[in-house]
Amino acid sequence: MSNDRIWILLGKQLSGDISPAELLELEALLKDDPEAAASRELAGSIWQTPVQEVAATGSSKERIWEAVDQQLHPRRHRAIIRRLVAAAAAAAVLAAAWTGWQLMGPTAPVLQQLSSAPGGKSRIVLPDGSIVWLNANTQLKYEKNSFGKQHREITLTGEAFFDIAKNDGIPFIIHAGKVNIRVLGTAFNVKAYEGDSAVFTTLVRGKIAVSFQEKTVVLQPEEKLTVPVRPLATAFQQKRLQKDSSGQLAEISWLNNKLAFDNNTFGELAAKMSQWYGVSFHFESASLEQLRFSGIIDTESIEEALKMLQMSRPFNYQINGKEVRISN
Amino acid sequence: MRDDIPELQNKVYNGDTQAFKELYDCFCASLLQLAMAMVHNREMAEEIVADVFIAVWNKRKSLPQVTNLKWYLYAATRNIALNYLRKYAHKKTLQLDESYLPDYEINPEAQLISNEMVRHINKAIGELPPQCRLIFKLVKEDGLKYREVAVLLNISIKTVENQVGIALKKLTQMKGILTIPLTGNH
Repeated sequence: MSNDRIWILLGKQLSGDISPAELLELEALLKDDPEAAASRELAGSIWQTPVQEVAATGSSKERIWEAVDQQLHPRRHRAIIRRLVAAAAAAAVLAAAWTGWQLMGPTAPVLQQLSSAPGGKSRIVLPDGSIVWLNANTQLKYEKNSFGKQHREITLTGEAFFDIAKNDGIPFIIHAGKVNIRVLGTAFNVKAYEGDSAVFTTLVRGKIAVSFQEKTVVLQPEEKLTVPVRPLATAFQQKRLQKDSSGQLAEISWLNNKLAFDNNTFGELAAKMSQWYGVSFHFESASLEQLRFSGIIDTESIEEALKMLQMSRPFNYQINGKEVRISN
Repeated sequence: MRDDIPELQNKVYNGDTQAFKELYDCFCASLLQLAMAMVHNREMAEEIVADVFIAVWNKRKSLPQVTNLKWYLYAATRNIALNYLRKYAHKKTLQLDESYLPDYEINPEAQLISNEMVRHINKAIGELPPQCRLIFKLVKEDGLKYREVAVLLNISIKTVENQVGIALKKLTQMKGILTIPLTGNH
């Protein structure tokens, strides 16, 4: 009974705040201490015994509510000035702290914000090893210091494909508007642009739970869930998806069908386009290879793409089957 | 503690005053206790708790961004209490004042464990040292995480661990407890 460590660990276990290592330690300690082991059950009962304090009940509770209630109907009551000043001060404190606290840890929160370039897409590896592909005009936010340690929560605006690193201890949670998506380790697509009328979630593999207001839906692979958010509706639409002829889900085709380039030389771009279209490039002069371009090739054909490039730099091209000749 | 806080949070976000009152009923006592332990003054503690709820109501449109409303309320109470303390410069550090810590009574809704047992346990809790009692209450009754309690009370997680351990040890070793048959086990 003299071993205080047992009690510390028992407390942590009962409160659900115990780590796997500590749990093992507790089991080992209890094995060596039959007396404490007998008290374990008792400690469990004590923990489950509900207690309620007397102090705050009665007059305090009513007085506070009176002050608060006046604020619910500001036009009906003119509140006491002191109250207003206090409330304003409190509101200022809250306003300042609000943003940081949404992903609060005990240390000062640092909000990490990642954005894809307008019109471009980006691949990001999060601190926990999860990989995220951001589609155009997409933002991802998370709390830098505690992400991956205490939680794995991010806020998404836009569209992204997630390949989540497995971590059974800390579920990965995505907040997309009013829809929350909870993951253990899986790959899926979320489309939640600000202008979208719904949040679209498409699961590729694994399992995810999507919750919105009080409802939760578990998605199976190759299922797509549509949650209408404008106008707000509680009805989910869940449907099984068909793969297209290339064996791909159309929902994640954006991952593949965009070729983004930013101030690349024509030579570098030609290398990318060669892979993209399965062609080979031949430049008539080295100076042509030094021309620089920025842009994206989406679903354009190679001819359309070259015409687009011609609009920013003068050159001629000739396509012969799988060969593309670039000339002055 | 209720488990439908997210639901309440959403209703409050939508301007539901009834849900707001329920939220108030759920947290008022706990927050007042925390505030009193910090500012040692009932009137000021009442103002602090009122400020917390007024701010929540006035900023309800931002509620969807709050991922853990319970913790948010506790943290807001602590911060506003610290602000009051700074303003009045009475105390710089937290001290727990025994006179403002509540006595415990039985919650009549939950009768899983025999009344005799509940009475004994509550008596035993009432006899814990003030800081120990507050920490135990925040962890057990309010369901706060150890690190959350540590942040709230400006103490180390080690202290929280120790105090909860001490509370449990003392409670299980209370005279008489072992002689009462346990009826609440599953």
